[in-house]
Amino acid sequence: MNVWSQVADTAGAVLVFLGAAISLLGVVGMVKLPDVLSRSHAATKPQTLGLLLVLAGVGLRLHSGMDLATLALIGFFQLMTGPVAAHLVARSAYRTGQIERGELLFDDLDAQLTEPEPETEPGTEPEPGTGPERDQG
Amino acid sequence: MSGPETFDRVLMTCAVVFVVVAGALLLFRISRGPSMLDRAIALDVFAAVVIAGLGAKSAFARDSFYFPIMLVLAFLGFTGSVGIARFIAVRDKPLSRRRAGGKEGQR
Repeated sequence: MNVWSQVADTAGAVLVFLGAAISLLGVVGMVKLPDVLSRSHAATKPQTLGLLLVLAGVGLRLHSGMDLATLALIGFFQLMTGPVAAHLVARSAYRTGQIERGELLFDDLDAQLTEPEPETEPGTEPEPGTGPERDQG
Repeated sequence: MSGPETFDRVLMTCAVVFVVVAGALLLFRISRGPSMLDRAIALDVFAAVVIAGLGAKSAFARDSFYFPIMLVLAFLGFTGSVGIARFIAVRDKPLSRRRAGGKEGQR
């Protein structure tokens, strides 16, 4: 049993190391990539994979059931809240025109936004003319 | 018994160093992100990196003292970037009239 405990500890340390390395790689991508959407793409690696690997490593090194439940809750909340923020940031980047439209292969949202006045800014005061396409992004 | 323990300690020390370097690079990105949305993404990742660092510390010391802090960060870390994307980004770059690409500068 002692051997398996040692194996679990070493596996936990390796998982923590891998998670930290993936976080560092994602952050390097965030520094070097040129665009908001590209950085958002790079930002998901530390948020999901790196953090889940670190949490799995911590769970392998701590053997209490309450700690494992707390770690599962941390991973669950991180997975729940990550896409919300990424979606809102990408939506705001699209609406304010901060993306390279020439480099997009597909732009399915553009057909809904081909209005003569593109400043349908989300969240500010409601304008009656730009109502229907407001909440479709 | 001392050999694998030393190996674990070396691995987790390297993990903490990686997390600290990642945090420094994120502070660089936050300081000179071209727009507020870059800062919002960087703040969101920064919360995840802080959670990873606290997890590495907890794995190193085998205590669960910082687990509630990690839980609160995982639960509330996205509110800052949501607020920025929802209310500040449209004000930071007011009314981009024509959507001609490549006007952001520093790209």
